[in-house]
Amino acid sequence: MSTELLKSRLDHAFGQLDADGNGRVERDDLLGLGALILVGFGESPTSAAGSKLVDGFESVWRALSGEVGDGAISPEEFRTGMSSVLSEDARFDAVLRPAAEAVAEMCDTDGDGVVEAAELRLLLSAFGAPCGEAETAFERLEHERGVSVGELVEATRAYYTVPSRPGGSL
Amino acid sequence: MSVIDTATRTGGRASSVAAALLLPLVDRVPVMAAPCRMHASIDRITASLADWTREIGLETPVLARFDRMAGRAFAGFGTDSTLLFAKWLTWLFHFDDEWDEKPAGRAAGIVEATFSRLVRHTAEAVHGETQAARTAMTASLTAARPRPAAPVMTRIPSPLPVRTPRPEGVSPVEAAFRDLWGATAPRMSRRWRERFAHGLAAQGAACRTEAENRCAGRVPSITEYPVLRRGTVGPYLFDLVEPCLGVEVPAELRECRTWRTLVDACNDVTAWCNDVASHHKERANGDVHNYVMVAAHAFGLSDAEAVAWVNDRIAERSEDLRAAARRLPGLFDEFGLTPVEARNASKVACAFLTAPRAQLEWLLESERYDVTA
Repeated sequence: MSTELLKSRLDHAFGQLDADGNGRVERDDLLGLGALILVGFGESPTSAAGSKLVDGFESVWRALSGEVGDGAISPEEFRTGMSSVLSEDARFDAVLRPAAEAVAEMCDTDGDGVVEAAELRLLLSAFGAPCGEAETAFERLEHERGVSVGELVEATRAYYTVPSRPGGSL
Repeated sequence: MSVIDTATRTGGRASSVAAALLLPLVDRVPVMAAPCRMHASIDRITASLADWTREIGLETPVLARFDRMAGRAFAGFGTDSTLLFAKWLTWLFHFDDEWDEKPAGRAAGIVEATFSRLVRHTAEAVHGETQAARTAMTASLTAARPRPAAPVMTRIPSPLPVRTPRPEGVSPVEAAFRDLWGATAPRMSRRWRERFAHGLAAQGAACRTEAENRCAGRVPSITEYPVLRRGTVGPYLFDLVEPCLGVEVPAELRECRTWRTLVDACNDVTAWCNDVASHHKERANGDVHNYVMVAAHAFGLSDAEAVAWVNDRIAERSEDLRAAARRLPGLFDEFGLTPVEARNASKVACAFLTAPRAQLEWLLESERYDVTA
């Protein structure tokens, strides 16, 4: 993936996190996003699936904010932190995988290991992704009748690393 | 009895066992399945709450642990948010004490006088828009006027001058209310303040009905009890989540059916859990305002059967709570909420989804439910 494309995708992700548009991602932003996802799936920080998500988001926040230290992340700090987490397998597994898996498992509302299109649409909507790429992903998923939880996690990573891999358009 | 309370100020044999009767719900109710997180700054919240109760003159039992209740329900949020909610819980505990388990509980007149003064304060303490709130409250109180009150048996607070911080003769409960109202109301809209005042009036009406039932030795019917119970909790307790989090849910969302279901279901689940945990104590006190006793009376059930019946209702109502939450993203779109508004509303809803488990842990932890408390 070109540096420019990666930068643009990470900047887009930053913009989604920074809902109030103050140019900083604060803990409250992540908390609000987490709440939006939990509520949409009827989960809670005190449900089995919700608890995993809250823990996952908390570890992402600790990793990203720990690197900048002042409790709020600028777009540049977000790019640097995320690039590092995404490019190293060990760091991806420690920092992002638990959160990505928690989200993907929550999407799998009937527990059959497959995330269906309606569930994915709800998720992408929570992430504020009604963009063309997400619509393309919907169409393909609807056509293919869902993806596995594992594929969704890999697709998330692939989107921010290697666009040619399956699911890269997510 | 209040949701935070409180039937067990003096303890009741086997009441700690009664809280354990709720444990099967952990396997049945998804939002009660996982432990609450505790607020990271709980020690600071505990210390600040203790300072405040001392300064304001509220003698709260150390083991009441409202700091820990708020610390669970607001685990992910700011320290100030959690502390403000803990203060409100503490106030509500003492406010209930104005009549619960005391002769005053039979005195509808005292209930009315107390609520009238607080409602008047909510209307008059905030500059502007005063008349509308006062008119609404007057109408509400007049509509719910009880039949002639039983003889007044205990303290009658004297009428208060308005906008004086702590005039002589103001009870700590009232001083605390003024303090909290001053910290809470100015940041909220006129509509929110009116909603709070209506909730206060609704609680007053429900408490008067309970007082009348006690006088008449009447047991509420199985269909009227949930509505009555929702009122005695203090519906404004759930409205307080917004100012404590520093947000306000847009009026059209807050007033729609789904949001009302969300709030009412949270109220019902937490209140009924409290009923299961406190029913031994209330039975010993001769108070029939408890879902377990109402069910036992209505269906001729044994104590154990009535507890099982109420637990079934709790499980069902928890599903209503989850179903309402799931409908919210669609309503965010329908009402055109901005991303920030949608996230703020979600945070409030998340607190409602967390409350049942927080309530359960608090009931199990609270030593006021222990026989030795």
